[in-house]
This record gives sequence, C-alpha cells and structure tokens, in this order.
Amino acid sequence: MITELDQQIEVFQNQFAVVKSEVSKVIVGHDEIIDGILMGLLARGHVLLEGVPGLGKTKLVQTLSDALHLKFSRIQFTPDLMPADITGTNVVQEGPDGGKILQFQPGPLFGNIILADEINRATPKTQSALLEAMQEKTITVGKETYELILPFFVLATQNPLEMEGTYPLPEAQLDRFFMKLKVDYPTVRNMHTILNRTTKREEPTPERVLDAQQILDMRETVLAIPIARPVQDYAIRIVLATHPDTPNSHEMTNRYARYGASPRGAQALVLGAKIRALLNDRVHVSTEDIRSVALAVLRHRVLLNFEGEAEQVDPDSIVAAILKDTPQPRQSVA
Amino acid sequence: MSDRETIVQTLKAVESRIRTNRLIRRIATGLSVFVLTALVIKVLDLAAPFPSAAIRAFWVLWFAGLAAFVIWRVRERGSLADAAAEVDHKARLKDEISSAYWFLGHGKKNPWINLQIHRAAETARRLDPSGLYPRVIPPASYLAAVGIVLLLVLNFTPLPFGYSFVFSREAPELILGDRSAELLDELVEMIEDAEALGQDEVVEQLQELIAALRSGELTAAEALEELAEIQDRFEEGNLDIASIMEGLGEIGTELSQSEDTEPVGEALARQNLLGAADELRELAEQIGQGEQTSANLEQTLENAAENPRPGLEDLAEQLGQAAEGIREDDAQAIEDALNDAARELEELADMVESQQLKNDAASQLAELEEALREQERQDQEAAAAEGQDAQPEQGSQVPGDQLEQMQMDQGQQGEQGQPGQPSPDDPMGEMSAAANDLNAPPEFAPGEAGTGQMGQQVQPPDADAAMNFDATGTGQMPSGFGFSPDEKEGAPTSLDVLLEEETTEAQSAEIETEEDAEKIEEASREQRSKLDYRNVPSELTPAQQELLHQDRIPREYRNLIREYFQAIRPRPQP
Repeated sequence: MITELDQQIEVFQNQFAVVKSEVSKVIVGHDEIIDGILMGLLARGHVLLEGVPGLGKTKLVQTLSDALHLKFSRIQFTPDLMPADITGTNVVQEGPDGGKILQFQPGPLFGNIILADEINRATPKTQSALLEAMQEKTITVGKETYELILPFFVLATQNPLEMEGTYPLPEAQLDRFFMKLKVDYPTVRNMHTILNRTTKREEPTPERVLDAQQILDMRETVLAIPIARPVQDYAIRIVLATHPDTPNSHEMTNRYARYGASPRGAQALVLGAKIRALLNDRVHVSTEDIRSVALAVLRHRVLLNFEGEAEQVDPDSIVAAILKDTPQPRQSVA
Repeated sequence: MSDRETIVQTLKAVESRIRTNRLIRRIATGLSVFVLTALVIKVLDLAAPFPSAAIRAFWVLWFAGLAAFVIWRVRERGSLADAAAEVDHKARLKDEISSAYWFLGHGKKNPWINLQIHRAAETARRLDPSGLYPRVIPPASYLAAVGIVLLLVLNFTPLPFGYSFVFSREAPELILGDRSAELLDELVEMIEDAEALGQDEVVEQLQELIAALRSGELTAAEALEELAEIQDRFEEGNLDIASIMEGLGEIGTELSQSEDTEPVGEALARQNLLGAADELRELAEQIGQGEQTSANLEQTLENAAENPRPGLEDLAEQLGQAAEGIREDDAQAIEDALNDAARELEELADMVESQQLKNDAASQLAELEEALREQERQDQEAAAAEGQDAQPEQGSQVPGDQLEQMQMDQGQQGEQGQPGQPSPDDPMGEMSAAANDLNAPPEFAPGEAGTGQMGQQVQPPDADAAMNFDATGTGQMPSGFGFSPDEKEGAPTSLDVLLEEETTEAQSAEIETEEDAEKIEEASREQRSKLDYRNVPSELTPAQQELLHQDRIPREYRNLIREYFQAIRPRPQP
C-alpha cells in the first residue's frame, strides 16, 4: 500500500513537472507564477494574475491551455460586456416542427480553462456573473442551471496601472480567487531568452501532456495529504490575524485593514501547502509550506481601510508582518 | 521496533537530551546569579560589615533560594510534542516528526497517515540525539565558577579588613586600626622573644586576647578591660621589685664598708646583680684559698644581713652565715655561704629582668589600650557626624520651643543663684531640670535635642559617678567602655528640683475659707507665670554655646538617655 502511495506521489510530481516543462518551453522565467497557476488548477481554485501589459500573462494562460487536453475559452472583458455574453443565453430558434423555441446558447464559461482577460475592465455586474460559476461550477440562466465541465479553471488578468475606466473586483469575487499572483518584469537574462524564442521564424509550441482526468486524479491526491493539527492551527492563526479588531488580529491589521481573509482563505492556505508538500516529496504539511503560499493566497483577501488606502499600504506588507509575528507551533525548549 | 515505537523512543531520547542541557544551562545561569548576589553582598560587607544575624539570614535565604530554584528546574519536564517540534527545527525536518507524533496520538488510520508515520520513523532512525544536542558547558557556568573562586578568595584570604563570610562568622566587633595592629605585632614579637616572662597563665591570656583582637571577636570595651587586667597582672611585681632593689642598694651600701666586699657593694649600687654575684664568688674563692680578709668583714656582713627587706631574706641569711663562718674561722662555710649568696643574687637578677620584660609588655599594652581608645573615640565622632548629616535639622530644632524652654529652666535655676552649677547637695539638679524638659511633650521631643543641653549645664563632679559623661561637658554619652549593665539598669536616682514659688493674683487675697483655697488653687492652675526666664544671662561664651548646642549623642545611646531621664523624673508625692 505504501508503495502504491509512493508511486502516486511520484506520478503527481512527474505530471506537474511535465506540464511545467511544456509551459516553460514558451514562457521564460516566472517559475513561481507557473507553479502558482498549476497549484490553483490542482486545488480546484482560480487564479488572478496582476501585472502591467506585455509581461506575458495572456500568453502564459494560452500556453497552459495548449499543454493540457482541455477546452480553452478566452473572454476579453470590456466595459460593455454583459453577463449573458459570458454565461450564455437563451435564443429563439426554429424548432423541428417549425415553431419557435428558446434554446440555451452556452457562453465562453463553458470550457475548462477560462481566460478572463483584463477582468477589471468589465462592470461589477458582469464580473459578478462569474461568482456562481467560480464557486458552484454551475450557471443558472432563467430557470435552468447548467453544470460546467470539470476541471473548471478561471485565470483572470488585470492591469494595476490603468485605473481609468476600470472597476475594482468586488470582495466576493476576489475571495473566490485561490491566489493572486503578481507578474513582474523578467530579468535581463530571461529577456534575452524571450527575444531569442519569439523573434525567430519558428516559435516553440507546447505539447498536450495532461488530460482532464489526470488533473482530477491529481486533485484527489492533493486532498489525501494529511495535515497535523498544530500546523493547521498555525494556518488558522495566520488567517485570523488578518481580521482587524479581533483577539488574534495583528497590529498592522488593526490599523490598515478593513476586512480579512475568510475561511475560504484558510482552505486555500492549506490546499496550497498540501500541493507544495507533495511537490517536495512529503506527505505531511509543514509550517514552511503554509508560509510559502500565504502571501499569494492572502494578499487579495486583506482589504485595506481608508487609512491603509491613504497611506498606500501594500497588503503584502501586512501579510508579511503577520507571518513574521505569528509564532510557529514550536517552542524553543532546547 | 514498530514505527510508532521508533518515533516515541527517539523523542524520549531527544527530550532527555534537551532537558539535561536545559537543566545544566539554567542551573548554571541561576547559580551565577546567586553567586554574583553573594559576591555583591560580600563586597558590601567588606566595606561595612553586616551583623552576624543578617549574614546568617542571608545565607539561609541564599541556600533556600538556590535549593528551590534547582528543585524547580529539576522538576521541569518537557513534553514529547515539544521535543518533536524542537528536533524538527534542529534537524530541519519541516515538521515531519511533530506531524507524525501528532498523527500517532490523534490521527485516524489512513494509508496516507501511515505512510507519513513510516517516513517519519525512517527519519527518526537516522537521527542522532547526542549529535544534535551535544553536552555543552554553558558560558554562565564559567561566570559562576569565577564568582565562586572570587567568593572563596574574598573569604579565605587574610585581608586586613575582611573576615570569613562563608562560615557566617560574626562581623568583627572591633576592627583594629593601623597603630593598634602595629602595637599588637610588636607585642607578639615581645612575647615570643621573652621566654623569661614566666607567668604562663598571663601570657596565655594575653595570647588569647591578641587572637581575639585580630579576629575582631571582642568589642572595644571588652578588649580594653582585658588589656587592663593583663596590664595589672604584669605590673603586680613592680612594687616588690622596687622594694628588693632598694633593699639591695642598702645591702650594697653596707657591703661597701669593707675592703673585701666593696666591689660587691659598688656592683649592687649600680644594680648590677650579676656583677655583684661574680664579685661574691671571687671573694668566696679567695677565702677558700686561705687568703686573709679584712678585719671588718664580719661586721660588714652582719650589718648587711640585718633587717632584710621582703624577698631578700635568703640573701641576708647567706650573708649572715658567711659572717658566722668568719667568726668561727670556718673558711669552707664562708665560701659556701658566699657562693649561695651569689646564686641568690643571680636569681634576683633573673627576677628583675623578668619583671622588666613584664613592664615592657605592660607598657606596650598601655600603648595599645590608648590606641584602641583613640580609635573608639574617632569612631564615635564619625558616627556622631553621620548622625548630624542624617538629621541636619536636629540641632536646629532646639532653638525653637525646646531651647526656649531650656532657657526658662536655666533662668529658673539662675534665680536660685547657681545657674549651671550643681549644688553640693544635689549635683545633678540641673540634669533633673533638663529631664523635666525631656519629658514635657509636646514641646520637647525625647531623645532628640536637649540631651546636648544637659551637658551644658551639668559638670559631673565625678566622671565615674556621672555615667561617663564627657568631661568636656558636651553631653556626649558613654563611649562604650566602662559602662556596665549595672549602671544602665541601676535604681533610678531621685532628684528634687527647687523651683521658685510665684505668688498668683488670687493668692494675694487672704484665705479665709476652704472655698477661697479652692479658688486660689484653680486660679493658680489657670494663670500663667509672669516670670521671664528667657533673659537669664548665660555664662557660656558664644563658642562654648555653639559647641554645646551640637547634638553629638550617638544614636544608639539616645534611648538609653531618654530612659535615664525618665527614670529620674520627679515622682508625685504620695
């Protein structure tokens, strides 16, 4: 039995590495971003990518979809985008008997990997159309509820610079993202590689290496990883520290935060830590795993108050302070 | 061994190593703190010796505290969960052992949990607790060791100002000054050199006294008392020696009358007893060889043998026998008698020499006694100065109501014609007046000022009778020696104070009835005296007054003085 589990872990690691390798054929650098996206995929979550234009966010998502045997949909969010444009709608069609019938026309959400490009350009109304799909994996149109195909994975991008004509994501929407990954500029060395790959006649193309079932199996493996209570307690204390004016809140939270992470945040923290443990060939979650994913998991769940906005406090600094000051389940007894 | 046992055994080993290391470290730290505390106390004690009771209390608390600390630390136990967390941290196992230990106790059976436990057990088998937690001598232990060594050095090194603190020996009652120590050293050398001192008992007593003085076991008063006693015993033979030397002089004068014994007489006149003995032997030898003696030798010897002084009876008897031998013309008897007389003179010479050594020792003791008295006096002055510094307002409190009251008393006595001078019948009358002031609350606070005022007014006619009042009249109390408990606790002295009667207004009327008498009595109680005692001129010069106004009564004697004046307070008539 133990050998089987060991093999299962090995398969997980290999499949993860293969996908990452295929993506890396196109995407240069951004290892942590790729890991984060795959974590989101394997944790049944969704990922919000934030970065200035031209850093390859959309390319990354497209490459990922190319590496997977999954149905890919791209939605370019614009201010005039309507909910029905993404969920689908009933249209009047001529029936077999020549009469008029209403037939549901699925929108782009009916896919496995959804690229919600520049999601903050759509109105909150349209953004909110994603809520049910992201959490329940269903879409309700009229009186009908339609199951989305699994795995359902939303990758949204947003530009932090252009605030004109954009709409900040609602808190409920933000909370549904497993991680928020910040895409940074590539290094000089990576830039050379990017130019070398993209300015030639032939561009590398990834192979499809993973299908939906394999992804679902990997998800099951992730869920099987046990976590000890002290480590889970550590994750909970970190999440509770993001809540202002509570017994566990951190000083910076009290000062700059309006809301903290929900239990969904704690779930994301533990799931991300489990994936990381598996990738490190461990079958237990450590506090280090928790800490390593905490920033990406919690940064978009800490909402700043007026003072925090006024002082332009970075939520990352609040999460970092929490990680620094939250005692780990270890006593210095030696 | 199962995975579970492996993990638990490893954790027990780790916990044991952690606990031992922690125990060593904390006990070393605690011990260093305790030792440093003792060192601080010891250093303070060197500067100002603590009473033995305080030292004993400190050591009791010190050992009790240390024992409690050690017991507390020894009883401290860590959990295996803590040990698991610690070993995870130490070996960078990323919570593997602590997770496995938690799963062992709480986790449901699950293949994944079993796998985790199995992997953790494999890791635990590779762990080396002794390598992870080696025995390390904590730095605090070096500090503690240095502190202990310092403490021992300070305790056992014979420093001139130190004494053993470890054994809770009492703080020295008397710390010898440089001069006293020097005299003591000379005295020791003298005793060692002077085997002829004889009187082993006295020498032994002196040696015990020296040892006690060096160890500070005696108070100044006890030391002075012992010194005086030994001094007296050393000087006991001085009168005898003086008498003997005088008698030898007389004998020498007599012997100078004869030509044969003239050298003997001259030697005796020079108090050269050994020379006189040699001359006598030479004369005996001459007579034994049959040489003729002068005609008046017999008479000279008889005269010398007459009326001998105490201690010279044997010598006189030998001289008398020599005279009798001349009379009987028995040369052998003369020779024997003169030789015996020579031996007697030698014994006398030894005795005189011994007494001279004793006199030297007594002189040395007198110097030592004087040095101790001087040291005691300086200590008292220093203590008085400290007392004044501590209560700078003490003297200034006097000139107010108290001084006014004192001056009123002086004036009252002045009107009696003898201000500040004790009458022959009542030498301490003024003291009793001052005592009234002392016991007149609230204007006069007992034990503070006012005691100095007493000294101004009272010149005790006899220093001993006046309870060792300082002869300067400053009111300073006994210096500590010569003040026996009997004198402290003797029967209270009864003193009568003569006050001038003042006629009240009511008294000017004639007393006819008993009711009038009561009115007069009541009026006299209510009416204040019009006599102004404040203008009584003082016979003291300003310098004397300034000196006498200083409160120089040592703090430790203030209660005694108050008790004294309370004891001699005039009692209401029965």
